[in-house]
Amino acid sequence: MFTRIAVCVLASFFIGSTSAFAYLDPGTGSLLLQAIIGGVAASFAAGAVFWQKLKVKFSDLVSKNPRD
Amino acid sequence: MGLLRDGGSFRDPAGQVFVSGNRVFRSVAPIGRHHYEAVRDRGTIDKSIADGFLVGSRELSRADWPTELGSASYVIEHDRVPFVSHPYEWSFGQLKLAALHHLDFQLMLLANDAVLTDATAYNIQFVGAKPVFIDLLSIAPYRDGQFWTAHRQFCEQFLNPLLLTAIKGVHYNSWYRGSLEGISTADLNGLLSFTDQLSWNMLTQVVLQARLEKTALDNPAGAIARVRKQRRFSRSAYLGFLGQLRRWISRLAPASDRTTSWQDYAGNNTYETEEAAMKRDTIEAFAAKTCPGLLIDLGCNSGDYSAAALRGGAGYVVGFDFDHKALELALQRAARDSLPLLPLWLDASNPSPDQGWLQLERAGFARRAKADAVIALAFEHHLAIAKNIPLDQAIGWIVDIARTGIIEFVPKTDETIVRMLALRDDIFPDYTEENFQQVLASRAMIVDRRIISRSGRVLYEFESD
Repeated sequence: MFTRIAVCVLASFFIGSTSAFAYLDPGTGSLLLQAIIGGVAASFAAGAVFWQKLKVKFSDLVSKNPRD
Repeated sequence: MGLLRDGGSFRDPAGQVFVSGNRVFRSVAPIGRHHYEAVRDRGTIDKSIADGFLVGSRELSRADWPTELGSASYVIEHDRVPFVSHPYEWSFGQLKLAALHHLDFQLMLLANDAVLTDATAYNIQFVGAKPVFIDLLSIAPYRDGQFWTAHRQFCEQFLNPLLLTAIKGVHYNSWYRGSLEGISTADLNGLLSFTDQLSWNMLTQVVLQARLEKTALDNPAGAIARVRKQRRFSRSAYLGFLGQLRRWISRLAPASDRTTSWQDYAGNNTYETEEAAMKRDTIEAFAAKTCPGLLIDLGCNSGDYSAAALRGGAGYVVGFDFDHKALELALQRAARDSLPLLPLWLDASNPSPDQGWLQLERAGFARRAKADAVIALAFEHHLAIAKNIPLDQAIGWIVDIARTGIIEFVPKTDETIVRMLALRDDIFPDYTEENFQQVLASRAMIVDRRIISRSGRVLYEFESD
């Protein structure tokens, strides 16, 4: 629920636009995006690696556990 | 055989693609040699080919070069892709496979200190149901801290068209065909409802990116200064972007995944099973007799008769259909049975044109659709009756595709035509089997006529010089 509200607040911040001069390479928007959320993306990647390691460790633990 | 430059190969100064008969060459210009040597010497190109990411490619010794390419630094020969297709001819499933292929390739490359310098969907082709990357010179060494410069292109050519179908249930093909570089993030953002935006991925990759594009256009100097100030994009951030997009795209499915008019056609049509079996046997025997290297199946539906042609001995089948769900089923069949079958989207009354720069960049249907054989089953009446195309033109168009083929004639008494004409006047007095036979005979030799249904459907086999 909290995530939903946070996303709503964020969304309302981004809505709305102004007129523009169409002569700059619009790729700048993509580069700005990478500059802004690169850190979050990196932490997602680190989280995914951590999660994989945790899963491997857990499955190792389970498989090493003697059944009888 | 003369050497022809590929009309779509002009943007990258690092090299160009040339075709000579059945052979495909890529020249490496002096400006592109350092990147090429760097990734080649590290074994990245060989690994990309061995792992199935990159089309088979061999560096030629100078003695084997086409003489016209004498000023190049290197000449590479590529395996020929059996049939070149464009992203606007792909089904949702194919564009999704292509997007995942691109991302997986990037992830593999990054692990080997390399990147792709662009993200154009045209650099991916299909061999059957398998995507393959064709532009070896897009591979470059990774520089520490570099941004993903092709991210915007990836969004426009892969992500945004997929989202249009996944979120809005609108097929991207017509839009993509009219806008060859894909769908801009600003355009897609303009279509999103408030609730469409409520996810981290949508909010960042579409809403925020569109907003930042707007900011950059409003204040170019400020935007450039802001990017320069950042300077670095860490490798883990690069990996994070790729991984996040991969997870998101792998979960996407068309919003309008309803049953369409054709998807049950193969199993729920006006034929009886015995008649369908007779039709399959006829196609299989035809393929066994003619052994076509490339066969085009017009109105392929879920690929049932394409598969019959392959069983008979056809080397490769390109199937065309207008119905998206039918194409997904054909793609699933090709993937499941590892068939050399490429299903593509086609509106036969308005086929892909020659377009792009000089109208040579993306070859249209007519320039590519030259095959050894063609089959058009339960197809011609969709042109002649549903689209009001004169019968002689419809037949002429089909016959021009290949030297030999099979066309099914569907009589007016057949249930499908009865339905087509149920709410409209019959303005087709010339649509008779007699006239069909006469027109076909004026364009080719009729070698066989076989009635295959009680309603009077007839298979005509033809051969021309």
